[in-house]
Amino acid sequence: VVEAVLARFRAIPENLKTPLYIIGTFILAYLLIEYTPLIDPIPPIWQQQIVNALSLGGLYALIAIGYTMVYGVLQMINFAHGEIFMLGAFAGLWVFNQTTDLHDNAAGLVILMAMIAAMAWSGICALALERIAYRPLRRAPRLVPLISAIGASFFLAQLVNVILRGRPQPVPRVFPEGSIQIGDAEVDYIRLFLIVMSFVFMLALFYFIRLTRTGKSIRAIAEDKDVAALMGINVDRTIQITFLLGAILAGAAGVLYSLFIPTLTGTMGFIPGLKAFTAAVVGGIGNIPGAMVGGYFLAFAETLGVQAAFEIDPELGAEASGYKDAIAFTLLVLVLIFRPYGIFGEEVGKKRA
Amino acid sequence: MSFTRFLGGGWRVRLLMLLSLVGILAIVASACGDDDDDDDDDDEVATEEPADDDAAETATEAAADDDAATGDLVVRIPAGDPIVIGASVPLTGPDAALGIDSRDGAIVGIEQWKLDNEEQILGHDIELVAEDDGCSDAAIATAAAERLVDQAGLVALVGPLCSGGAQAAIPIYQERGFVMISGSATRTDLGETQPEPRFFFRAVFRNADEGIVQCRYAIDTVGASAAYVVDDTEPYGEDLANAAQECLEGEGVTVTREKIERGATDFSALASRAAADNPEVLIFEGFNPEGQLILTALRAAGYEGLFMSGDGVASVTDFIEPDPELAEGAYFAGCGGDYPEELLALYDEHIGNPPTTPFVAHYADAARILLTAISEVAVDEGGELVIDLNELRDTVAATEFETGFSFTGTIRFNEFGDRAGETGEDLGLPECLVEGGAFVTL
Repeated sequence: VVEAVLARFRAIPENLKTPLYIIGTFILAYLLIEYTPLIDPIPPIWQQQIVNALSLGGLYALIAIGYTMVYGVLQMINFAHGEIFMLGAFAGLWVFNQTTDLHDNAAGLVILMAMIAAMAWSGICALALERIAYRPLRRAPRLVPLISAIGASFFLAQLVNVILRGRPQPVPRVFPEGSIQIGDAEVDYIRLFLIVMSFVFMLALFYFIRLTRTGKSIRAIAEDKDVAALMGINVDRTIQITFLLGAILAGAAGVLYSLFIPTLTGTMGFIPGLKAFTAAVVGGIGNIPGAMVGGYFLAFAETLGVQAAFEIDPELGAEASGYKDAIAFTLLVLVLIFRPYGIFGEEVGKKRA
Repeated sequence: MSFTRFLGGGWRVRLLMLLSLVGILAIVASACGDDDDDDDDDDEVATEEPADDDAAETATEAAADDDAATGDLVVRIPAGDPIVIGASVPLTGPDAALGIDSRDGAIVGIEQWKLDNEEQILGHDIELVAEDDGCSDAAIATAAAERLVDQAGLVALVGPLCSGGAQAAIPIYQERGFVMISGSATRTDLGETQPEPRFFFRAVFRNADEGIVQCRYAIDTVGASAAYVVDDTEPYGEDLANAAQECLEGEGVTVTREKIERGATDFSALASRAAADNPEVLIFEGFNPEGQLILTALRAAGYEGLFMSGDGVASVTDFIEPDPELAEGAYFAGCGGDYPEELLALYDEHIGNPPTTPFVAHYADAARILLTAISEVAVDEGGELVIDLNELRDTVAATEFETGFSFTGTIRFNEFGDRAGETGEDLGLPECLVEGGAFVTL
C-alpha cells in the first residue's frame, strides 16, 4: 500500500508538489497543535508571537514578490514598489468609504470589492510608473533606473501626503471582530484571513508562473532577455505583465494591511517596502519562492528575536526591542555570508554564471 | 550547503566577513554595556548631534576665558530709542508654524503687559525683534544669536525655541549677559548643564517633569503596581521615558521598558507581550502615528489597562480622529492648546487667525516676566535708559508669577533656571483625558 501511495505521489507533476508540500505542512502543523501535547510546552506568549510573525511574514512576502519578479526580468530594484503597495491600500480605503452602508451586512463583498479595486489601481499605477519612469531608461546604465525608482518612490509618497495635507487617514473597521483559539494563541479573524489570503495569493502566482504561457515567457526573459526576444517573446509586453503581477499582489497586501493597521499615510509604504526588499534579497533576489521564504524569515527573526531577548532577561529585552531591526538584519547578514545568493538563490546564480 | 564548498568558494573572503561581523557585534555590545552602566549620561549623549556639542563647547570655553558675564554688563538705550526684546525662534522650515505662533505669543504677552501696566517703560517704546534660529540646527541658532546680540537696544530675549538650538546658542547670549526665557525648550538637562552664571530660564516644564506627572497619575489615581514604559528611541521619547521609569521604580512599581522605531507600523509583538502581562498602565513616549497605532494594536491584542502618553501624541487630528472610540479614556500629560479667553482675544486683535501650536501661552508669560523685571531694574539717566544686566538676571530669577496673572499657572524658577514645581498646575503642564472625542483637562 505504501509503495502504491508513494508511486502515485511520484507521478504528481513537479509543478504541483511544492504547493502540496506547503499545504501538507500546514495540515500537519495544525494536527500537531490540536491533537498532540507537542505545542503545550511552548508558552502562550510564544505561540502568540508565532501567529504575529506569520501574519507579518505573509505581508512581507506578498510585497517581496514584486521586488523579486521585477529584478528577475530587468535586474533592477523597483524602489517605488512600497508606494505601489501604499496606493493599493488607499484604493481599498476609497472603496471602504464609498460603501459605508454595506459594512454591517455584506462585509465580505466590501472586502472583495476593495481587493479588486486595490489590485486594479496598483496595477494601473505600476504600468504608468513603468512607462514613465523606467522604460525610457531601459538602455541606460543600470544605476540610472535605480535613481529614477528612488525618485518615483519619494514623489509618490510625498504627493499622497500633500493631497491628504499630511493627515493620517482612518480606515473604518469592516472586518468582523472576533478570534479563534489555536493552541493557546488568540488568533483574530483578521489575522487568520491575512495569513490564509497571503498563501492563496502566493499559490495563485506560483501556478501562474509555472503553468501559463505568460508565466513561461516571464521565466524565459528572466533567463536571457535577448534570446527570449529572438524566440519571438514580446519583451516589453512581458515586462509590463511582470510589473502588473507584482503590483496586483502589492495592492492585495495593501488591503490586507489596512484591515489591521487602521491609519494610512503617504509614507506608510516605505518601511514595509524596505523590509520586503530585504526579504527578497535574503530569499535570493529573482527567485519567487525565495521571496516568500525570505518574508517569513525576516518576520520571524524580528518578532521572535526580541521575544527571546525578553525571555533571557527583561532588561536585555528592553534594549533589544530598540534593536529589533538590528537583530533581524544581523541574522540576514549571517545568512548572506554563507549563502551570498540568498537562501534559494543558488540555482539562479549558477545559471547566470 | 557543504563545508567543502564553503572552503572552496573564496573562504578567506567569507572568513574575513564573518570576523568583521563578530568585531562589529563586539563593538555594539560594548557600547550597549556602557549605556547600561551609566544611565545619566544617556540623555546627554543620545540627544545631541556632535556638531551641536562642538559648537556648545567652543562657545562655553570662550565664555569661561572672558568670564565676561560676571563683570559689569550694562545696556544703555539713548533717548527716543526702543527697548528691544529679542525672539530666537524658527521662522522658516518644518518648525516654522511653531516658531511663528510662539513669536506671536510673545507679542501678545507684550500687549497684555502694556494693558496691565503702561505703553512705555520710562519713555521708551517696547519692540520685539525675531531672528530665525532654525530650531535644532546649531549653526543657524548660533548665527541668529550673533545677529541678536549686536541688535541695538537688545535687553533680553524669549527663546531659543528648540533644545538643540538652545544648547548651542545659550553661551553666546550668556557671555553678553542677556537673559533668555524659553517657553518651549523642554529637554531635561538644558538648565543644569548651561554655563554659569545662569542666564537661561524656562517658563515651560522639562521633559522629565512630564514623565514625573504621568508617573504620579499612574500611582496616585490609577494605583498601578505594574507598568509598561515604551519609547520611540528618539531623544524626546527617551528623555520622558527615563524620567517616568525612574519615578515609577522609585515608588516600587514593576516597570517593563520597551522601545520601538519611528516609522514602524506593526506593533503586534509588543502588544502581545503587554496583553499577556496586562499592567494597569502603559505609557508611550513619542509621536504619531506610532502612538495611535500602538493603542490600536494594544486593544486588538486584548490589553485592557490605561493608555498614557505626552504632548508628542496629544493631537486631535492624529490621535483622536482616526478612531475616536478607541482613543476614549486615554490619558495625556501636556495636552496644550486650550488657551484662556483673554489671551485668544488679544491674539485675535493683534495677530489674526487663532494659534494652532501648544506653547503660545508660555511665550506670552515669558515676555511678561521680562518686561516686569526690566521695568523694575531700568534707571533713567537724563533720557538715556540704563539697565544693569546682572541685576536684571537676579530679578528674573526671583520672579514669582502667580496663577490668575500668569496664563500658564504659578511660575517660579529653581536654581538651574528651570520652572519649579511638582504639580501640572505649577509647571504649566495640563493633564487631560480623552472624553467624547476631545481632550478634557483634568
